[in-house]
Amino acid sequence: MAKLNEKLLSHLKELSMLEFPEEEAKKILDQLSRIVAYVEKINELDLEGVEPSPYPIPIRLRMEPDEEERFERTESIIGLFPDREGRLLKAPKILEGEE
Amino acid sequence: MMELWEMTLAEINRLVRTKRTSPTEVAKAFVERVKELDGKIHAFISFEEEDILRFAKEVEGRMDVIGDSPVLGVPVAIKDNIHVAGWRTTCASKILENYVAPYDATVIKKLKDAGAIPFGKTNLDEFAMGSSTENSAFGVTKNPWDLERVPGGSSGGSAAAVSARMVPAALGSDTGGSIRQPASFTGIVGLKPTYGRVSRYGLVAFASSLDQIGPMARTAEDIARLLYVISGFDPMDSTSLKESFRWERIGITGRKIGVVKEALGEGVDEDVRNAMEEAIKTFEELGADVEEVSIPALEYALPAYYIVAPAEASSNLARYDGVRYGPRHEGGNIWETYRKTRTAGFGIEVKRRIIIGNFVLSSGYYDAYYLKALKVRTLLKRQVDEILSRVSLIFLPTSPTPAFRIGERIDDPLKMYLSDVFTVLANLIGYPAVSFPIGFSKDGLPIGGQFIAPPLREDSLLDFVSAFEEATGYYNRAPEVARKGGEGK
Repeated sequence: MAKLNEKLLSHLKELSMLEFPEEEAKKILDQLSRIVAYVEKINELDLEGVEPSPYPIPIRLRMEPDEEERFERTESIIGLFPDREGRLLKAPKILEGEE
Repeated sequence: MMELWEMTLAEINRLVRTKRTSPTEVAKAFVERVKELDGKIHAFISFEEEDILRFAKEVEGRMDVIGDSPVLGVPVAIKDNIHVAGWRTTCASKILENYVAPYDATVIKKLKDAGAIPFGKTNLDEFAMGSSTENSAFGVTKNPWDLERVPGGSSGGSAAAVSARMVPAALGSDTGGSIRQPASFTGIVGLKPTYGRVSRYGLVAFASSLDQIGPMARTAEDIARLLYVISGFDPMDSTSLKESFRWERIGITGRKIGVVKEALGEGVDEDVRNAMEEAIKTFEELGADVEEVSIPALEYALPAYYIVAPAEASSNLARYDGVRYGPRHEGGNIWETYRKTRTAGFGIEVKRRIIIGNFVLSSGYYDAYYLKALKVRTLLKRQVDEILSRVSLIFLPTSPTPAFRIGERIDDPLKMYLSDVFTVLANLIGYPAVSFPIGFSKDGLPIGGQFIAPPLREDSLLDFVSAFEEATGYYNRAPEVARKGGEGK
């Protein structure tokens, strides 16, 4: 049984890259705890010898020929960049050991 | 003579094919309906009238090439998580509020090639996560049968648009019941195809092993026509199946229905149980054999779903980071930018599910939750297969209750999730399922019954729905607000 406490929630928010409003913190923790408690119900089942199914059908990787295609509507994608310089996407710095 | 907006998809198509009306006339008639009614209902997030009329004109120019299409000239509303090139795809989220689709989803391409008219983008729960359409960042859609109640979710906008006769048909998507439950709440037919039947290319992914696009309309015939056009192998979707859909319209006499006993107990509204009893009687009168069946693990489907779906969502929604599209909220560095963007852009339900998803996938918890849930999936499939080796279809309610009031469940996530207790099964195992109107509550609210068929047997679903339709005429009942001169509650 997992205890969804503030420490664990803090770790999960880090993994999820998101925050909740400060004033809702307690309510959110409570809601999430109840959801976790609910899904733990599956522990009542005996699943010995049952194989997991990641997909409803067996997934076969299909190979495609490596062919070049021209995509004509580049502007429809570049036009969505939140910040750009010409045809280049501008984004915050990633490297330099920042965390 | 009936108004165009009162007609089914099939009736409109017949008029267009016999040149008694034109795609432009049809489009204009439904544009008027949307203008007249959507102020009250708010089924649409966006409605590009000029483009719509232009599509209709283009179809007119291509009618000889298109030929005998079963959807020629028909307006089809599109849930706003499916891409129509040049129109916004918002997924009812602030994080995509300015996102313009760069391409047509495969289903849209197929609709356009067949001469159907994509008719506006409909409201949904944000990223298809919800059972009421209250989780939309762009307003709540009202149930046309009672404007103080929810239309269901997440395809609530599509359901309301069809139910209110603002369009004859719509596309929705179904991950845990999001086509069937709103169909049930609004008195229409909603079908979730076999997993892989309809391409997901151009559908914004929520849970990739569960999502399917499907048709929403008022009759089995209309559903069949849409399914015929949108289904089929697509090289752009690696989970796409090669088999084609065909409906030969076989009678139901002597065929067996299995009624799920675990789905008629306490927790199911009395009106729903009564409607099911009546429907069973009707099917018996029509010559089908009805027997009781059991799915012992049914009560574990919903908890398993709320492990698998959030897990997949946490992965699929990791891409929304403000870098390449969507509103970007700059922090001092890339990590702060991700955090601020996602915190500002996602609604509360989406955030909850991402957290739960990361939880069940994280080290130390993966085996206990996610892996186990995948085993529950296998177990459920075994139990259902055993039943379907003896009966043609499984029968159970779509949802335990009719439509609830706006605001009634929004603060209690678990209570909201319970609405899907009977629908998630078909998504987990990937089998086709349909909701169709089986009656009304004491308050006059629609109630849906649900059939689940073996893989690729959508034809079986339609055989039974169509027999029931003919016998009861429920499909013809329209909400007050939609009728000629109707005012609505």
